[in-house]
Amino acid sequence: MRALRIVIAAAMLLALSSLPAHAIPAFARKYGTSCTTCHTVFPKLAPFGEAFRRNGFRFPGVDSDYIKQDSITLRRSTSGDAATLPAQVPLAVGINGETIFHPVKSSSGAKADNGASIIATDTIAEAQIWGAGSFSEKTTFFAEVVASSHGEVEVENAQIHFNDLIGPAHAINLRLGRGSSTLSTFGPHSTYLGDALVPATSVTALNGATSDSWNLGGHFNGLEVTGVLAGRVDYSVGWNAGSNHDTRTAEDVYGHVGVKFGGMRLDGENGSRKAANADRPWEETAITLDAFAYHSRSSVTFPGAIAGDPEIVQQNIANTVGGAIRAQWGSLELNSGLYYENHSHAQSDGSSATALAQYNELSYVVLPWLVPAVRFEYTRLTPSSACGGGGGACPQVKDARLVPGIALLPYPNLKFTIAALLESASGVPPGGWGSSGGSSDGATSGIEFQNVSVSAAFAF
Amino acid sequence: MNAPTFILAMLLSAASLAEGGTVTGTVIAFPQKYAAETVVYLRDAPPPKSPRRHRLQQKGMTFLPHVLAIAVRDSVTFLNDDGVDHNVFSSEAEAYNLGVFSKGESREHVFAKAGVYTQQCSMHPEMLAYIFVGTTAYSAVVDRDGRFSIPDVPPGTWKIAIWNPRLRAAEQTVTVARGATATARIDLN
Repeated sequence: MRALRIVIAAAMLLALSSLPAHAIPAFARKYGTSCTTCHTVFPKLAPFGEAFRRNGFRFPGVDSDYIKQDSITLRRSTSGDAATLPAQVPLAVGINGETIFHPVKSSSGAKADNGASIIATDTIAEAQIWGAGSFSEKTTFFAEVVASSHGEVEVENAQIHFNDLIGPAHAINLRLGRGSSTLSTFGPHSTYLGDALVPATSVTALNGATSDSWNLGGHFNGLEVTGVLAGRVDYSVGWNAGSNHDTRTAEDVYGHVGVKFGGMRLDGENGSRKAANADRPWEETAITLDAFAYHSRSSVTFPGAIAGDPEIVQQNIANTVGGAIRAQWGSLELNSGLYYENHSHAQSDGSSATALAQYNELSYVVLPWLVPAVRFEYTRLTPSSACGGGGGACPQVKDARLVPGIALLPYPNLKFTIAALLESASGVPPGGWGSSGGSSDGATSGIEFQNVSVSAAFAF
Repeated sequence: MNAPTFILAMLLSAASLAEGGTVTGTVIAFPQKYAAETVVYLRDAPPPKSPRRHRLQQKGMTFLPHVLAIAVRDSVTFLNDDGVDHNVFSSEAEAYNLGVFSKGESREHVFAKAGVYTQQCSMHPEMLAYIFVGTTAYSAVVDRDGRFSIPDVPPGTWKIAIWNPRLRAAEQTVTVARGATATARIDLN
């Protein structure tokens, strides 16, 4: 029973972490500009916002030309790269949450919520405090502390960006600190209906792990080198501490490369292209291809077989490869990607497992404050044949989730998202589908109408 | 240049300088920060002798200047001096949209109708400027301290009026003498 509670708590934490947020008013204050300079419906970034993020949170050209916030000069430099301190504390606050409705009481999602029609437990679920600014023209910082209404507090991001280290502008940048791993040309939250563009698959959590379940979307301490080459190719190479809760040298490394054809340059520098439509500056016609690889070794904890047994700690090595494509035609955008993970010790008995994850999101920006979209995610978990003593004790399980929805922006910094979850699963892993965003019990055949969620987020 | 020509030139120059006067003054507003968006103009003074050219720059994602006072038939060149794309549009009177232009590019518009035209950038909605298009050549935008100066005003008595996006003021008259400076205090409310 204790183990089950721990699993449920872990799943709740993972589910909470999928709530959308991430528009940073500290940047809006710094540059005296609207959220819509970088975003359509936040946190989705427009091409210019993506370039700003890639450049280490700097505008194309001379960043300081655009800064309207007062600053105090801490040290002057003959090279012009003076050290500065924002005159006002560069902080911003965000709040978000979601309310779940179960229109179909017989769905496994409704059953998991004890048949309740409305779940308001997380209507206000998280608060974020962001800090963002510059140490100088080339060196910037970004930090994010997230507190949940359930009492957890986490430093998700705390980064210093040393930009333009060598060579042409934007070619080599160094990020030190804590954050998510750059595995895509686009921002980690560049989606209308989910939290992560690339959905994380917490394989060990799906298999019942209770803590430190590594996944692609985790926030880790480490360093990362990124850059944009010739405006069309971007890359990242990183090392981080991963999810090791004992003392050891981490061996988590990853790399990514992307190439963009058409549209705005990846660094946003001018001269290559101008927006096609002044009234719809997010529009472009472009295709971007991405590929990444990730090697991780993490400590993972499974509960004992029965109450009172000691926890089982394993060293799980995961190797992941994946790729993605973004095709944008005017206001219509399709994101598709998949990745494959191989875990050496992904289950409580120490056996291995693989996972295949696929995702698609199709969206159309009707107006900058009105974006209908549909998202599809598929997760397949394949335990090794040795799992559970063999003999098919641990079958392959699959889960498909279809999420049609609409994102609304009454004000540039206030958002509502209404989305439905339709789900079809064959089987269920030991930890349930919660950490992948599903709620199927795996026993119901066909497509289930699990819920309708109304999410709200605001930032100031 | 020989001596008679030099003396003649000096006399002509002095006559030219002495031809008009200057109207200066202060605009008082509450809060005073609103005074800086004020245009002071001599409502019944003559128009420019010929169309003039003005410039409105987009720099640091800001229109510079924030308020521009011109006259009917004058033209304004909009220059993008930023590293990012910009647009200029106005919804008033002869509404126009000058499209997208990149760094170093400019667009020109000739104003045929009097009025106040808000200037906006569809790509950066926080950007805002005003172009006051009057019928007279004699107008000025007040500075941040509320001061203004209208030079070379023909001698005579003129109605002095203001435009401000938020505040109003009663019309006054000002008498300008040749080579002299007339002062006015304008209270906005």
